[in-house]
Amino acid sequence: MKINKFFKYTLFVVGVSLLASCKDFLDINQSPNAVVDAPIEQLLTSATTSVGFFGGSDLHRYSALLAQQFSGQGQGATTQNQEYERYNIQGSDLNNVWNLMYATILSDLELTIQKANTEGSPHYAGVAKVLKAYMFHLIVDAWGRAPFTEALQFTENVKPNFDNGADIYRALHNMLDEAIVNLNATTSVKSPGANSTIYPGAYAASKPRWIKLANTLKLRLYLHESKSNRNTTIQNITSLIASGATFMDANTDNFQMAFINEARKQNSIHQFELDRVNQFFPNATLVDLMNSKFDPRRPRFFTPFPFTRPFDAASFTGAKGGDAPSVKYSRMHTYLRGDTTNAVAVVPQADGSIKNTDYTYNGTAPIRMLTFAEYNFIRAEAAVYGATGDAEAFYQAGIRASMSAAGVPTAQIDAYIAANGSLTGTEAEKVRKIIEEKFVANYGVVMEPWTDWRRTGFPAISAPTNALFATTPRSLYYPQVEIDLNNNAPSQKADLSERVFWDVQ
Amino acid sequence: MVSKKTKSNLGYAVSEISSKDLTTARVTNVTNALNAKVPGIRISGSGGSFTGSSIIIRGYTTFTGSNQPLFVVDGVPIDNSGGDTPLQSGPALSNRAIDLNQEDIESISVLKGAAATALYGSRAASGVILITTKKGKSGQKNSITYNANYAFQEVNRIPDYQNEYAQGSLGAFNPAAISSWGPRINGQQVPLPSDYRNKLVSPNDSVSLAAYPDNVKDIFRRGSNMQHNLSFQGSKDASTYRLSLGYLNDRGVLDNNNLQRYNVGLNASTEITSKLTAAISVNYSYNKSERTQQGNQLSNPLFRSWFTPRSWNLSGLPFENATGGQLHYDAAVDNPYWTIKNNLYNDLTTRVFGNFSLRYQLTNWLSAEYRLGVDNYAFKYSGYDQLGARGGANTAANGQGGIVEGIGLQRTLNSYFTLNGTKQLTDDLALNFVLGQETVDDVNNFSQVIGRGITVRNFRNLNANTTTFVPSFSTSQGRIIGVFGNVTTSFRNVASLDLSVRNDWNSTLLSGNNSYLYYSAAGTFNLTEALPVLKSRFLSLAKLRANYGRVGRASLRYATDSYYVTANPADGFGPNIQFPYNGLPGFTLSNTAGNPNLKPEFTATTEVGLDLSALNDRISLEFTLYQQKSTQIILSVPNSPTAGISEVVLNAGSLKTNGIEVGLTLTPIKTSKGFWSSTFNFTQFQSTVEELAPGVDNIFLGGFVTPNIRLVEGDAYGQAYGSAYQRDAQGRLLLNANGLPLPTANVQKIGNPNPDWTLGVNNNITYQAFSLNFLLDIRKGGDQYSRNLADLRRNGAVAETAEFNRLNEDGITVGTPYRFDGVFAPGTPNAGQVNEGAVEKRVSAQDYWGNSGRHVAAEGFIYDISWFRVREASLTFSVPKRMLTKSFLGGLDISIFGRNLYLYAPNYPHLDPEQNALGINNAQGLEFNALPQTRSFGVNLRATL
Repeated sequence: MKINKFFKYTLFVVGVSLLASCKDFLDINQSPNAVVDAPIEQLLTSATTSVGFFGGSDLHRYSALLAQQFSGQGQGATTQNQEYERYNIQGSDLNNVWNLMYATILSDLELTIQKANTEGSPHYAGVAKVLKAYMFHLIVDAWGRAPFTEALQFTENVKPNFDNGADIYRALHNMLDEAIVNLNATTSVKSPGANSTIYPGAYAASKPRWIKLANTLKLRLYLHESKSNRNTTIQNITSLIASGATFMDANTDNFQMAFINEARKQNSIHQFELDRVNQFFPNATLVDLMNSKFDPRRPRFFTPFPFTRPFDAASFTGAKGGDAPSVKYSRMHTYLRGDTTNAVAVVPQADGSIKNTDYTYNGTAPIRMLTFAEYNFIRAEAAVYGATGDAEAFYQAGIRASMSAAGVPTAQIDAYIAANGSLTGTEAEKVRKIIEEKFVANYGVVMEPWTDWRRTGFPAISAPTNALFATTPRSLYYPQVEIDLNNNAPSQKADLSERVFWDVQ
Repeated sequence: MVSKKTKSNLGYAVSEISSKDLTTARVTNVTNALNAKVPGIRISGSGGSFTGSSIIIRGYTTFTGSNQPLFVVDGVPIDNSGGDTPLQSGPALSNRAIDLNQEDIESISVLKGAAATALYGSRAASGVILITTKKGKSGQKNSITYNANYAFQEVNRIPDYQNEYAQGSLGAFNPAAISSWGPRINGQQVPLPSDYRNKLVSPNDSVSLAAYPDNVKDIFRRGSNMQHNLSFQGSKDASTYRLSLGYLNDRGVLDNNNLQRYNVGLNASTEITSKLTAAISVNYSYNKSERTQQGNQLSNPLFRSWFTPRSWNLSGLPFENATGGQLHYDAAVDNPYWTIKNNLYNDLTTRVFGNFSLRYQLTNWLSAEYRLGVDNYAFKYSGYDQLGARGGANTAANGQGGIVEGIGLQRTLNSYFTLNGTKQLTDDLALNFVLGQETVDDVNNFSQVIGRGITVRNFRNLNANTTTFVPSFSTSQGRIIGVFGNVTTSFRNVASLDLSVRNDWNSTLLSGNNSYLYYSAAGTFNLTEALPVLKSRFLSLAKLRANYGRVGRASLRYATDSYYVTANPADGFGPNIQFPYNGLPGFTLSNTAGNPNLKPEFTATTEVGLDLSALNDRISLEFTLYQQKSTQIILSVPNSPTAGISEVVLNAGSLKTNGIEVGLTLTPIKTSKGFWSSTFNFTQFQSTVEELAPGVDNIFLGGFVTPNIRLVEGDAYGQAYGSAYQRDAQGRLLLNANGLPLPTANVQKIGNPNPDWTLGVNNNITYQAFSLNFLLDIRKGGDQYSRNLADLRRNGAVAETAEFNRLNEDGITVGTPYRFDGVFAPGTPNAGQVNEGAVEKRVSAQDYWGNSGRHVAAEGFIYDISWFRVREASLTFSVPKRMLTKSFLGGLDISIFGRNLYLYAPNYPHLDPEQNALGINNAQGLEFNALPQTRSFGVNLRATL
């Protein structure tokens, strides 16, 4: 009987205690695994790393295949890169890159700017605005129209309207001007330092580089309008130069991100080579162009095919869309993948090819996005059109900058300049020479080679024999996710011949 | 928690499976033992003998959350998570019901529909699998039971290969090709692939071309499944007990796919006083396994092995060199033997679950019970990726080698306090009621470190032997408080009414939205009791059932806030950056925005049914018709990423299921010497996505850019989407100038993975000491995107690709025996004309079966998986008692049994279609190089002392 009483008592206590203080008991729904607010420093690290990664990711492959810097190959089933190269790039293929650009990179940049404004850290706002302008101009160059003014409002507006490319470009110039003001601010509670993976280090050293990047990016944007609005381009470039703006003046100013030799921290072009073997080879358009000038960058850019040593005396063979898939081509080399650790050991196959695994690369080569070499080619081309500057001097400086970034010895650079450094002929011939050199120098640079081709028609490329349609695409389809989910988006393009605003006929 | 009710008064359909039916042909994962035995549920295995198996009861109740039922053992829920198979890395895993020992199960009841499950709370919205374990019975003599079981298992189907044509393409030999479109095999000398050159054959590097008909079959082994079970049970005075020991060893059909399980079970109860009863149930399991890599990755030993070139001596040539590096003809994938040996995964789960209860008889009609249930398990897994691995394997180390070590702790506490009353109000009117309170506290802890960059081959120590580390740790916790009540009244045996109500407070919603009420009502009306004139020798029972019920369900944890998460930029092809990067942490705003205003979602079921028994119960029928509707479903609704986020968690959308289930038992023969009975379990349901979120017409459930499985507004749950063939207005194929079909640019619906219906027929024929059981499993309809079948065909490996002579009379040039029926597409020279006569374009076997022909579009990979199979069969001889009287044995049964003994799948050649790339995921219908389904034969011995 005692036990029965004890049980009755226990029952009562248990019942009461379980029902008590319900509210605190249930108030546990904040995740211990994530934060509801993040420091501005780590937001910027995320943003700069994502920008660097992005530079060698999906959009690089699409644009490099279209511009024929690369060619899609494959063994067995048809690979996506073969399809992309023959212009079969669907809206659904673009979902990931769209998501990465807007929902990862631009959202972090936007939040960095907002936070910087609240916290009184204009230096952060300045850096984020430069990167934001960089990202948005790529969006315009690739798609033409895109959400800008109504974008990045998070849950406030999940169906942003689209803006015209020309309007976005105008706004980007303002954004870059504001960025420079912010970067120059005398006081800033916090300033980017080692936490920025682009121009890492003390702000005193990185500040001039961010400003040079902002101005050089303005030059790139002005030049993009050379086809649609030549006179304005000349005027804008001349007056920007006259304003005393600083521009890149050495390879150390290059807008690029260095990577490190650890799995999943290596550069994105190299990672793709590891993940998707035998799918992405240097294109014959690029290789043949360099072969025709005995370009000394080739042993850094490519492995020889057939494989022989020394590389300086070897021949190089590029791949071509539409040909039967093969691995009997040059492969990309140290310039894009970083140093090798086993250069001596490689023994080629009987047919002269090497296997994807023959070389071990450290994957630390930078992803380059806007280089000092390109700055020189921009100036050279602008000068040809009539803007301030000596076109030939800039042309040669561009070649030198690119070659020295690739590690070409000075003697070889001098010899190359002696043979190919003069800029003569009609305006069109000069532009061809400049763009062809720029095309080589921009090996591995996202978007710009395709943009240059659309602006100037150089280098001359012809559609692969198996192309889906005869003309090279002039913009990309709107991502399928946008068509599906945003009823304020324009209707899908009829085909890829739709031109962006600066690409007038 | 809720006392078991007598079936005669139930207003809803409950199906019960007895221990005997569960163990006809033993399996490793008890989930598979439910297959075809219950009307209204659908079990989908995902290949192999111990991977995940999905249970869908009466269709789908939610969009992207789990549709798996709640497992309840002896009144207390246990965890059945896991069983999703990753698409691009790692092995296929088991759902945790695999920890249960079938031998310890007395019966399984399947509760379907909201009226049956409302009392079980939010977690039961997709149904309940109610398991009762074996216990000692009061007054039972002490006894010992020993059961031994041994079965061989083997791959159920091996493709029918061609062995006429060699490795290569366009009739030419190529030692590096993955296809078998090469020359006719004729003993000619051909070069070895580069890995084997200068190493094996001297003086030249050529071999004589031959076919290796068993080069795929040899990858597999004959596996086995061994189970030993020993139990002691009985009673003494006012106490009962059952103690059981179990051992299981499952050796899969691929090397390094093994699972061992040890179970210890204890059930004991005692009457402390005449009014107070205490009981305890403890189940311990120790479950460890080794598994090979799975999915769409180059380290999956089956990634390209099913279509190994017919002339490739896969098993006869070495797969590794002297230093352990791999050798293979194909430089892009891992050699299957090498990856099985070198890319390793093993796991270990130790688990204790059970409950402690005290029951006190307050008065002769009222009792109180307190029950505390615990489910506590720890798991550890470890993966090793060899230097030089070409696939992602466990750690995606890009050939640098990697080790992953993970540990998890999962603990669920369930506390119940119930008052149970039973009162006979009048002679005719009985009343039962339950009042109860439930508290659930569930905590998961998970720690993992990935180390990459192996220095010393085969040294499996993460901290000593890898150079870079990616740790990840997480904790999550959820709590529910529920209060419930149930009243059942019955009027004689004529009618009954069952009313339930429950309110939950759930921690995953914010105050103001976190309390929700739901309820059910179920009634029966027994026509034969009400109108005895209906009762006859022909008709013994006619009962009508009807019910309505509604269950609320809250969201996943931590969906009420937006968070910043560790950055991880990635492209769609594998490359990504893992943080911390170079010593720097990085945070990014999660692409999924939380929502503080989330409310619970509800699933309501309306059900009517009829039970009939006729001809002295020789025929009994249970017929149920139901409609189920889920509303304000919680869902991550995708939006334009240009907003800076790509989805927001919302209450959106509705999902409706209409279904019929029929259980029919026939007993054509019933004599003193034996009987024959057959139970037909018919299941048909269709879940239709009525509405997604505003402006969203489809949602991605799983898969690839093409193909994938989607929810599409207005269509049945989980459709297969991918590229299709271009067709003209009349539905004819559009062909290019070469007479080959063209793919559509965008994805479209290419298949519906949901079956039209399934039927299980469980037969039991007993004659004297012999008993024959066999279970037929019939499935009508349902599509699968089969990567394996596509690969077998497009690479020219299977017999039909050599149906016609591939080469012309010269024996060298490629012939064109095939023609696609269709019309030439606009823009081609013969636009609009039918591909015949003068304009006919014939194509080669390689073009017809290959990537430019049938497999140009995902539509060409779709197969109807309708099947008829003998799922289980056993023949048991029970040694007659009279023969045992002089022995120490109380009973002795000997049986032979088999699983998957026969399969007829008219539209699915070469392989067993019972596979799913994503395991138990909601996305069903994709097959990507999964472990094959197995067939087994064995013997079972059961002795009772």
